Formats: sequence, C-alpha cells, structure tokens
Amino acid sequence: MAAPAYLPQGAQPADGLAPRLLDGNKAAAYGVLLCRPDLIAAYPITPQTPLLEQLYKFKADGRLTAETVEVEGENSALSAALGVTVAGGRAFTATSSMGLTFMYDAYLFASGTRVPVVMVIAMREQTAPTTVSCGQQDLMMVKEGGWVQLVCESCQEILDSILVAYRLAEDPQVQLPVNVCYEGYYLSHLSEPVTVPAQEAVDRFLLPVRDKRRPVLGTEHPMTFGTYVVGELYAEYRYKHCQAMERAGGMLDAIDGEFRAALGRPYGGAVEAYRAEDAEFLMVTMGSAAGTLKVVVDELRKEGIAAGLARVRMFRPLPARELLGLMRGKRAVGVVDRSVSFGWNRGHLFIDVKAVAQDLEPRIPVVSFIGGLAGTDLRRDLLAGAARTTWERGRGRAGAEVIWLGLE
Amino acid sequence: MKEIRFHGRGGQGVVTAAELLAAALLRQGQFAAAFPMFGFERRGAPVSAFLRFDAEPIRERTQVYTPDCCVVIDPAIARMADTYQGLKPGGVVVANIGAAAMPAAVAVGVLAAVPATAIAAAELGRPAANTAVLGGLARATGWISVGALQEALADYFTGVALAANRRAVQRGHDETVVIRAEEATHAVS
Repeated sequence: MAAPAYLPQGAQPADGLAPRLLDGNKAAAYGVLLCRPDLIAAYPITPQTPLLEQLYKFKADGRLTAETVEVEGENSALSAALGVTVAGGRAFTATSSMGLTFMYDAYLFASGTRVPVVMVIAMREQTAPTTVSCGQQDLMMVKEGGWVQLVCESCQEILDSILVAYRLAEDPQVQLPVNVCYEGYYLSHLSEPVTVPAQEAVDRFLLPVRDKRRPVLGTEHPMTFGTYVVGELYAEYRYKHCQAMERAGGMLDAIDGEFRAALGRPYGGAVEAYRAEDAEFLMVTMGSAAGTLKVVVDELRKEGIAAGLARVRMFRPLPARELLGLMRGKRAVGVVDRSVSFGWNRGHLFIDVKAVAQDLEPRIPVVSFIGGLAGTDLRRDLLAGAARTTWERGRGRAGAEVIWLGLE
Repeated sequence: MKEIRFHGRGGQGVVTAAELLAAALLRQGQFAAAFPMFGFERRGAPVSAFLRFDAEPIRERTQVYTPDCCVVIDPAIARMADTYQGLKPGGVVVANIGAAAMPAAVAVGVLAAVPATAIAAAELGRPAANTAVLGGLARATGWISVGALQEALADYFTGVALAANRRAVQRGHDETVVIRAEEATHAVS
C-alpha cells in the first residue's frame, strides 16, 4: 500500500520548485501542456470550460504546440482525439455531464478499440432535473465503459494524474483510454498550492511510452480499426480487454516508483489508506470528500474512536484486492457516494465495496451514505455523523443499509 | 486555521478577490485554499466564495459556515444581516459600506468599512470594488500585507490595470475606517 501522497505536511518538492496557486482546471491544463500533446479537441461545458480556456491561452502564448480543433460537439471532440491517437499521436479532450452523454458511442469505441486517449471528466450531476452543479453521477454513467478511471482529491493530484494517465494509457501492456476525474467547483474551481514540475522531469517520466509501441494507422501499414466482428473473435476482444484492465490495475504501484524517481515525490497507489491499519471501522470514498473525511477521522481519533479511511483513487479497474485487505479485521465499513444507482437505490461505490466485502469472513455491516448531490455540501458534521453511524453498526446497532446525508 | 467567506454579485470580482488573497497568502508562506459557489454564471446574481488558510495544508473541501471573517463587496448584500450568518463571536467584517449602514443585529468584533466603490470608480473607472476591499482586510486583520497583495495582483493584471488595482489596494488600506467591538456597537446603534 502506497503512503498518502497528498499530505506533504509542509514538505518541499524535491525539485525545488515553488508551488503556485492553481485551481483544478488550470492544474489539469498544466498537466496536459507538460505531456506535449499533438491534438486538443474539446467542446466547452460547465464546469470544464476554464480548462479549455487555459489550454487555448497556452496555445496563444506559443507554449502549447498542439493543434487545437474547435469542434461542433463532444462526439466530434472525442472522435477527433481518437483519429489522432490511432495515427500515432497523443490527444487530449475533456468534458462533463451531458457532454459525456453526447459522446457516448465514441466513448465506447475508444475503449473497445483500445485507443489510448486521455480525457478529463470535470464531474457534474446528470440531467434531469437540470443542474450544472457538482456530483459524480456523470462518471457513474460510464463506469462500465471499459476505460481506466482515476478520481482525484486535490489539484496537485489532478496535474499528476494527467501525467500518470498518459504513462498508463500508452503502455503496450495496457493500451486503454484513461479518464482523469475531479468534481466540479469543489476541485475544478478550488484554488490551492500546486507544484508544476519541470518539463525535463515529465519527459523523463514519460520516456517509457515515448516511442508509442502500439499498432499505428498509416499508409505504409494499412490496417482497420473498429471492424465488424461476430462470435468468438468478439469474445476474444472482450477477454483481452479485461486482461488489459487487470494489468492496468497492477501497474499503478510500479508507475508510482517511476513517478517518484522522475518527479521526486510519490504519486500513490490505487487506494490511499489513511489511519486505516489500526482502525476499528473504515470509511470509504473517492474525490474531494476524502479531504474532509481525513479531518473527521483525526477528530474521532482524539475522542478515542478508532476511525480509518480508504480513498479509492483508481475506480476502474476497481482495486478489489487492496480494498479487501484494508477491510479485513474491521467491524464495519461506511461508503460515502456522491451519486445514486437507481434500482439498487444505493451509492455506486457502495455496491462495489459491498461486493468485495462478500469475501470477508465473518461478514461485516457495510452502510451506504448518499450525499453531496447537485453541489450540496458534504459538510464536516454530516461526514462525522456518517462515521459515527458506521462505528455504531460495527458495535451491533441495527439500522438501514442506505442513509441520505442531510435528508434524513 | 482561519476561514473567510466572501459575498457579492456575479461580475463584481468576488471569485477573483478570494483567489487573489489566497495567492498573496501563499507568498507569505501560508497554505491557502479558495473556491467559489455559484450556479449558472450570470452577472448580478449573488455569489459566495470561501477561503481557508493555515500553516498546514488545507484538507477540508467544504463551504465555510462559521467564518472568522466576512468580506462583502456588494453594498446591498452588506446591509442584510443574513449575510453574516455563522460569523464567529468577535469576528471581522470587511464591507463596502459606511459604518452606519452595518446591520445592528450582527455582533461584530472588528468592522472595517471600506469606501471601495468610490475608490474603484476613481482608480479603475468602473465599480470593481474587490481589490480595494482586500486593502481594507489587510488593514483590519494584519493577516496579509499590502505588499503581498500587490505582488499577487501581478498574477491577474498587467499594465495599466495592474497599476490601478495596486493603487486601489493601497487606498483601500489607507481609507478604511476600522471600528473595534465597543466602538462598533456605538457606531451602529
């Protein structure tokens, strides 16, 4: 298990660069700039728009050499990025909410055809009712789409995850598209200190994928992408896709070592464990609420309540082995979701965690907490309440499996 | 950790004020995190922004409910008592109003009344009162220096606008009327 990467506690970056104030969108733009993409094709949508504005500013200033295409919609944005990527280039796009919905067929084409493109999802609620506020529902609509999905807690992690995303996507052992996901407003518009690494350090980190050792579309070696396939060959595609997902999951720890060597600090693994080892019960979440939950865990510890936190950083493929290891020996698990699965009527991450918890002996209570929808605040008191409820469940108190924070 | 809540309207530079202050705090060696909360972007709609700073990294990703300080850029919003909900006892208000316009119901520890609209009109030629108000914050709290604010302005403005905003910060600092607890009670009664 990797050490917590984003709690430097005053630590200075090894490369000596001073942190600067960047919001999540700008941090993402710096990450993209440093990866030297060949193409940026995107369509603006709240809350992702400032990311594009920053990229176009880089372009206007002559710092970004990528070709930029102003497409007429998200479907074309991702399709253009796919075209450049299969031709051997490095492409970037970003979207949110209904924009993601609008590119759905291209989204599935990207993963099914194993195109290693990188796309930001500035996470937002999904219509209807109509809103532009924060939520994780848009990501959940595509969690089965075959992409690798990384979910961030801080602006530094957003920048770093863009670098990791290209390293992972373009690795010949993986060759899958990667989403870097962060919540609208709570991260996209959160300004905090971010260290922008030196270009040489990023070049060094991306050296293993510099030569793009993958099938590349060109006139000298004609080939077909996305052909009509039936029967066993189709099953083989799926089988190999799943194997690639497995490898992607296993590679994050190795990439962490490379990241540390090139950039002087850890990136972290698939799950960040915070005071989890000696915890009586475990809270699980992903995204911005993890920061607040760390404060809650510290407060409960002061009261003598042994709380712990597991923050899922890689949502797909799900780090089941790591989660199982962290849950073993705990009395209860509480999962905080900023999304709802209709029909299950639980949070999406909860469903995953509960499935993993089936392998625990003895069984322990797993509670679903739904909150923070449409930009409502996952306040400290709400999260502390969720943690206390989970603690009580571990001590035998009965109660509902799903609790809507702030509604009940 | 100190928590500051900013109030104003879309187009008044509320979000920029919070970011500017965070950038200035960073220059003073503090950790700071700021974010705005608004829906569809439109001028004139109420906008809030939240800022935390500390010697340690900021981990909370929530809005601010019990601010140490409220910074109010819009005079009409500054006159409403609800604006100051949750203000800590003895808390600081930095507002773009005359001291007499401060709602009597609010228990303010330190009131900084900044003639920010007049300063902005004179220096910037438009009612962007956000930078003058930050000058008033520097004066009333000492949490940030005018120098650090003026340095941070270079991240957001260039040329004539940078010079004008630097003057606005300095004048905000110099022309703010600061009233401490007992006097404040007297002034608004």
